[in-house]
Amino acid sequence: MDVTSIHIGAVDYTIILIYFIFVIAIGYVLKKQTVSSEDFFLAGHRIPSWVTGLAFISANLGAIEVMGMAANGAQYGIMTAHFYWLGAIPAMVFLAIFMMPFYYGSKVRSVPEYLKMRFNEPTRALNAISFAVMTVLMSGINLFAMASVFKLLLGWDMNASILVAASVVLAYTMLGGLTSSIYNEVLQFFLIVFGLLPISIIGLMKFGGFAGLAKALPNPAFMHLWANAGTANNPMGVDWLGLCSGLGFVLSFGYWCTDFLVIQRALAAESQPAAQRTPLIAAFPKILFPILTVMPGLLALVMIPKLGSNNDTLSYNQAMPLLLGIMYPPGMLGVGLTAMLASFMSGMAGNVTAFNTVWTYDLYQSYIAKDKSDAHYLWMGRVATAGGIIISIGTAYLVMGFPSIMDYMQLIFSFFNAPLFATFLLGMFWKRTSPWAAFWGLLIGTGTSIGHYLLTIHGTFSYPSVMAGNFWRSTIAWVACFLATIAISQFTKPKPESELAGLCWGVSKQEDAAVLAWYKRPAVLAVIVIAATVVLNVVFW
Amino acid sequence: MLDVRKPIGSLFVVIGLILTVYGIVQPQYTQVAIVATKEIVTLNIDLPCGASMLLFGALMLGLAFIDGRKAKTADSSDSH
Repeated sequence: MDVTSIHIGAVDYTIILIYFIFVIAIGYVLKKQTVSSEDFFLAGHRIPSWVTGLAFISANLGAIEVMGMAANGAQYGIMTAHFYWLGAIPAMVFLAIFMMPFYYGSKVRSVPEYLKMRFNEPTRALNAISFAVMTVLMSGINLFAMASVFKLLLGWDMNASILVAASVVLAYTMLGGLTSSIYNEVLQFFLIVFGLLPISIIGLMKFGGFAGLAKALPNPAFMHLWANAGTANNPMGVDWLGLCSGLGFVLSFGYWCTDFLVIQRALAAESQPAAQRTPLIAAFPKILFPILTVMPGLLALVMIPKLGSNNDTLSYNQAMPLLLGIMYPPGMLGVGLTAMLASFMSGMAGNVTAFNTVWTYDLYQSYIAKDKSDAHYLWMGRVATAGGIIISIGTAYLVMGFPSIMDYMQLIFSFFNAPLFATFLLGMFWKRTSPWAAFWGLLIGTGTSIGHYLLTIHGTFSYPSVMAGNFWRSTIAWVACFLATIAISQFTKPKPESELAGLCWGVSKQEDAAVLAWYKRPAVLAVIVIAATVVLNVVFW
Repeated sequence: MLDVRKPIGSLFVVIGLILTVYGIVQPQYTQVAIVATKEIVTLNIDLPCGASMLLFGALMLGLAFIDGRKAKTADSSDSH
């Protein structure tokens, strides 16, 4: 496979250019409708659930997913689908059914704001700061990934591609805020499907279906999800217990149930049932995503000899762009590249819109400038957008120094999201959880995680793979935060029940649920999603 | 509020048209070697992909148009 033989034609450039024009035009049209800070940060609570649902997964469908999951597919085989069927779907269902009523019902504008209402100001500040740091680090990953693809396929200069990508995202998020970001995410969702699905279809044609592909794979264990998970002796190096506790429970619930990046999309929905449906509507395409991401990874493993033999042009991370290059002629190549570009931009815009909200509401308005006009906060939101993107450019260069983006990201999650999920679980479902216990529990959880990481580097703990280490570290951090919060709650004062209405299980305001058609009821959708996931786990056992 | 299906529909119609026309005027053949039978299949990928994008775009625009008209009649009846 000769990478330099990929030829980009005028038609491909035209398609990419048209896409850029559309994206900015959407921001421009929406600017006229963005008059209050509520419009800018929460899309004015008026978006239908199918739109928020698709934005919910698109915001997450960034570089990590398109490049990282394909890379993992080539490295670990179909076990990578655990990131979807074990590591996403159950948590998305849990969020919809059990947690969304508290998020949407309490009328909070952000996840840190919920922590303030349920616990106290310090817990909110702790979370807001760690979240702000995390989001700008993540959006840098997307910029870096985009630049590396453009360098590989188009021969663009790394610095130039980072700047071009950053300016486009800046233009549309600054103009139209969250609405613009959500609209572009939905557009990007469809582009990704149309741009990447033909790869899997052509691949399946070539190998004669899954069975034929399985025969062509170098290792038969690559086609099984659970068959080899009895011990750590499988492609991923993690046994079933590590998978279920680390990925299936702590990391996935920590991400999907507490990360404001995704929750923000659901909060933009027009009603509480619509907010609850958001993660469930997102779950349907999410179940099928391994076809778009993991499958190409398996195809790349067979079709690109020497994949993974170096860390540059043939690294696993380049599995997807390399496949685009060998499979697509001019024309579709433009669409495929646009799809990848779209995924990086939606991943980045998701981070930036979450960052500007947390910065403006939870840090700026709370601690720096309290009683300013709404127009002032709207202005601050736009400034924060620009600031977030400029910092992302900086973090993009930081990311270049790390060997594996995916492992690095899971490491960050194990520090912040894993313990945070314990805080939320206790806060939402145990009214005795006291404000100071939440604060110290969170700090102890994060501290334990960082300490565990330092001891792993030092060699005190060792794991078969970096990923296994991240899974176990997350579990340990979660348990530490969980136990510490319970213990400290025993001798600190809980919040009076009168202040917990709508924030905690058992003291929520009981509102009569509106009668909805069966296909609009969250519980019905949840059962269908879970059933489909179980079937897939059995089929690929 | 801008109906999200309008920009999505328009973009897909434009890109779909470009691909379809390109696929007809300047067909780019990709050869796929079928592993089991060893036969070579020649595909003009741009054409079916372009046509399906065009169709999807038209569908989105159509739905937005129908709902837009519905909303208009509802608006004029209860003077929103």
